[in-house]
Amino acid sequence: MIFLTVGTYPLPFDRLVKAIDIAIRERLIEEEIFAQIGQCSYKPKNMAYVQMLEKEAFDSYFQKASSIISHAGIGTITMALDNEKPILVMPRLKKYGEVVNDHQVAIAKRFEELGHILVAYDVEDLPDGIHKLKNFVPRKRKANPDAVANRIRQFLNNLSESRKG
Amino acid sequence: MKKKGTLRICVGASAGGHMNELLKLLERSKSWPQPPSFYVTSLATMAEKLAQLGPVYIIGECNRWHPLKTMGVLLRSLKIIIKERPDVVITTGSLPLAIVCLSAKLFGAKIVWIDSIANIEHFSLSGRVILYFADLFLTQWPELSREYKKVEYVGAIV
Repeated sequence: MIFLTVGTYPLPFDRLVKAIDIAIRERLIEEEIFAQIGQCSYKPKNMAYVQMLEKEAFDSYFQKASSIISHAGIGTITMALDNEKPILVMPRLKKYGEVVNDHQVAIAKRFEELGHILVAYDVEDLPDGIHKLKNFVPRKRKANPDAVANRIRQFLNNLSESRKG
Repeated sequence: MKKKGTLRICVGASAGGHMNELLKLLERSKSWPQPPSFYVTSLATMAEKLAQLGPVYIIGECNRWHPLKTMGVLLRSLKIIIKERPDVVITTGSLPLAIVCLSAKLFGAKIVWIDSIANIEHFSLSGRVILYFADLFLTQWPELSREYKKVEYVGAIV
């Protein structure tokens, strides 16, 4: 199963959902797809979908999926990297009213450069991306959440000390 | 009465990517002097997951194009802050949580802002505003910390 998600973002992203729905109809995608379509007004005809999943159900679909297709939301991308899922993203664009600024393009470019994800910058790049997704092995990401938690611990300890006065 | 030096910690994040970052951080927070006293998020989809950790408040989504929704978030934030009186707010953003930070700052709380990994080339509007008020401001991209004296980079959460 491929999991398609446009995130929790409060604006629609019909361009991606519609393009994937058409790709299924044209048999560019053979695998079953399940979609979380968020605020989209386009209702898919060729795949199972829901508007929004609870976090735990979302995680469960995510883990069951062989690969992910999504908007270029950082949450979805980092979750895919954490779970070592191949992911194809298409950035939401401001000019179509899908997002308030084009930060998703910057995210897509940076993570693509780092070898972590596949990107379709527009609908016409999707067939190629879908084709590559089957054999894509994402490069693993090295994060350091301990360093961040430790810096905050240090701040909290200092604050706590100053309050003891 | 509260013991001297004991902190009331509020942690929060908007639903979505910001929340993923926060949950990841909280997995590493066992060494903090106290566990968080309460949690704040924007949508009910996150409530169930957070309720396993402690009391949760839902303040709603907002963005800069919807002043009425933003006002609603501000009123709910103030109500929560007045009731809970945190000593510190720790958040990974976004705008609804920036509003919680500013509400808490009015009542003397410290702000720890961890800017989202999503902000690669520059900070969001919320981040730029919070930069003035934050007591600790962390970015997850080293390039961004070089541009601002106040901004620290120690690593990425995700």
